[in-house]
Amino acid sequence: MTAFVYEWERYLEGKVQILGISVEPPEEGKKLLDRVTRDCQEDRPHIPLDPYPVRLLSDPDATLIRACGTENESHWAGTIAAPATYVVDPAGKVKWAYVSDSAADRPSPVALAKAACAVATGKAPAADYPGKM
Amino acid sequence: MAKLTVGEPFPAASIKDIDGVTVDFPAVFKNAPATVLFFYRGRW
Repeated sequence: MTAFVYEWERYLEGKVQILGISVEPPEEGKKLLDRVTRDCQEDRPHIPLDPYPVRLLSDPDATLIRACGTENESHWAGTIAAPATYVVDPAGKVKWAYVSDSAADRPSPVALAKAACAVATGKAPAADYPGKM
Repeated sequence: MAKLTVGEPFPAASIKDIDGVTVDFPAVFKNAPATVLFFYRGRW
């Protein structure tokens, strides 16, 4: 999640909003936000973090997670979200996606930011920064 | 359910952010020219 802060200037220029969703209850999301904010303030003190550029949402019943087909029902902790990242346009259409089976396999922060900023300006994401399905 | 893919409309749903504010999908996408939405397992 710190990667969104490190790419902050790209996202700011594109006026991109960033939403993070998990099954965790709100209090756990607040703890996570406090932790990454503290890390980012120490690591990138020149970047303003009030508000933090990521809005966290809680989906404890996995309603949206299941609607997107990103549920992982076989995790030892119960149903969780599988790692998936989407870029969506204002009409609600998915324009770029990176879906994997492992939390260690996430999109390149630069590729994601460039795809989002392209969509923000009405362009198609660049072919040299492909997503993954 | 099949995973959401490029070109598909984002499904409708209503959930809350960590401050208790209701967020309606897909209406929330109108708030910005582009939205990055990521799913995470939590407890990073």
